[in-house]
Amino acid sequence: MGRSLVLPGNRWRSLVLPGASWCAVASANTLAQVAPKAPGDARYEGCSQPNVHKNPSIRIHLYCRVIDHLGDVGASLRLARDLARLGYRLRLYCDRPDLAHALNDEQGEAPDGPEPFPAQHASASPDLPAGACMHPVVEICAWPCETDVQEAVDAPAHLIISAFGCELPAQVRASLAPPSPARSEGEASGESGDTSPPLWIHLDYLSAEAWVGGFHGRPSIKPDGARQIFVFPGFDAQSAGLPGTPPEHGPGADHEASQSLDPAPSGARKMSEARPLSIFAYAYAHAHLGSWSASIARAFRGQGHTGAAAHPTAILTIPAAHEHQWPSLKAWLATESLGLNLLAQCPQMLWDERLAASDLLLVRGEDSWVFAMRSGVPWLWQPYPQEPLTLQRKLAALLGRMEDCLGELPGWNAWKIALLAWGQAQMPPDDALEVLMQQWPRSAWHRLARQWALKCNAAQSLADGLALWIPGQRAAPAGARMSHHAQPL
Amino acid sequence: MKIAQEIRTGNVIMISKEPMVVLRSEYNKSGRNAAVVKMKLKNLLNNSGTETVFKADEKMDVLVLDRKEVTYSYFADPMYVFMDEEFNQYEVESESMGDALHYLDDGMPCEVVFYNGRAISVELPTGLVREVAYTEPAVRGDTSGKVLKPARIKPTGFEVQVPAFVEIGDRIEIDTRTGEYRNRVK
Repeated sequence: MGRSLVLPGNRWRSLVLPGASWCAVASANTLAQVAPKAPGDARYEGCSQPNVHKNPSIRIHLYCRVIDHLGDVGASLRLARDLARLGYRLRLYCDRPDLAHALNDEQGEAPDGPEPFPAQHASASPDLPAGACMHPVVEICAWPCETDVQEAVDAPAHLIISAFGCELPAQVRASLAPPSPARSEGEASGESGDTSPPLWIHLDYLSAEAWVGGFHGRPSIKPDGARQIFVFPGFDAQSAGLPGTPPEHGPGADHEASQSLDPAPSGARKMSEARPLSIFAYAYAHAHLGSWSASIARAFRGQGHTGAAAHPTAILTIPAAHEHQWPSLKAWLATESLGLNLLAQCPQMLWDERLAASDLLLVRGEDSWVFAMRSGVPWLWQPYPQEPLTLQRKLAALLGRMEDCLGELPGWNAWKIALLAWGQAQMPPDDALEVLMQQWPRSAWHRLARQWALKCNAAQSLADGLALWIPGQRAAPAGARMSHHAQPL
Repeated sequence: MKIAQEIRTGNVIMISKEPMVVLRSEYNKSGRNAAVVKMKLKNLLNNSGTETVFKADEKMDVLVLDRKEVTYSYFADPMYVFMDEEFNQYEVESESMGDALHYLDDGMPCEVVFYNGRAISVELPTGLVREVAYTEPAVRGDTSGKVLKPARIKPTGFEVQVPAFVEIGDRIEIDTRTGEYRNRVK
């Protein structure tokens, strides 16, 4: 089973251990803050790092199956990192480990900072190659196959997460059934150790709909007696919290200078006459991307941003892998004096940086949507294509929550109209876009995006929600509903 | 075996070898065409209640129970009384009526489900047509961005989310499993 280790944090270093199949990726800048020295764990001996591992004894296995694109594995990897940052030991099983590796920062640009964590400081351990030194990392593993599934079953885990409700490998699933009465009697008489199965979570998709609160935290008893808890990310205290964490320089970040509604919000990059507007689009194929780009650029030009001679007014960046979705896009944009930039597949860290550095985000799905909401950069969101009524309900639920927060602010109606149109793959609403682009980059859109980001970033994150819940659940009786107060039903 | 989204109020499913009657079933689409179902269940052995969630495509062991086609007659607090074509009356406790209360109407056809000779629940047709008692009128040129609006149906006043074009007096078909609008009936 191919595995690599990924440290949480924003700066990564590859650490290839000689003579071993392990590849540890160490965050040189963050090691000092997060690296543990777990008492009694031989693998941590020799790691001269401060002991800040808050949950060193809790191991989490996160299972992820890729349905399409990179959203599943991207969201799973992000959650895994967030949990690892809280000190849990994370293992990510993925049926497309190649994608997980591509998204991890191992292949990112070499960051500044001290040298990688020295392998020579590591000591031998029972199940790691000589020289390996583990930290609170995400260990990426290939989806267990017949020949190695027993290793996944035997690997101790306190919590198993089925990301987006994926089916577990059959043997792993079977191991979640409660012990038979005979085994339980053996335990009672002290004949064996703790054989209770790990906690098992069904992690669902993010939705703003109100029903999420009523579903979140409910148990599900399977025919073999296995107990699963349904966890729903969401936007309020009745849910498990919002995925991700506030971006490093995003609204509400600790170091941000002002928490107020600054007239020049942090999401607004300074514009000069020469600099084209930077639009980042991660969209489904049925989006009218060319028309939207042109309308946005027209509204931008209408604010006096004419651009320098021979330079495009705006540059649209899309993933290179999406170019085939709009085969004539480049030529069409050229007729509108717009440029097209293709972004090659890159690690998640660089993806995030690219989004954060854009002037406007046209995003889809979940992972990029959450990042956009947290960033404070003006954004529009396209839900996963579904039957029209379902899609409209999801959009309406989001708009309802945003209206509660933003409804009194200038420009909200225009943003709402644009969200509805983009979200339903309609043609661009020129009037609304003109309102939104007024006084760019000190626009109402920036203020609205920043205010919403402040709300999102102040809310409990999914990882924090899980971290608050796990200790109580480990001691909770069967049937207890997931909540921070573990109320019985 | 049925999948969870096919389970209806009144079905009895086996969970951990115990028969549980479904008092309420709520279906929602979560994301990427995945769906989940929350069920309010009552244990038929000890009368304890619980709420639980399943993936919509999870397979469930459904007990095949006796059932009779009946029509709703009247309410005799706390029992709802149904009658079959031979004028036999069957009483169902109000707490076992589940979502049927949202759509109850005099003479409404449905099925009463029996367990050990006891009427334990009521099953509704999957789709029911009801008249809209009240909904806000659609405003021409409305740019508020609302895509759905609430509508109260006759005779219970239960609220259903409907598209903006639905008006008072329209007859709409409702999916009784989800409580969602299906279409307008001419």
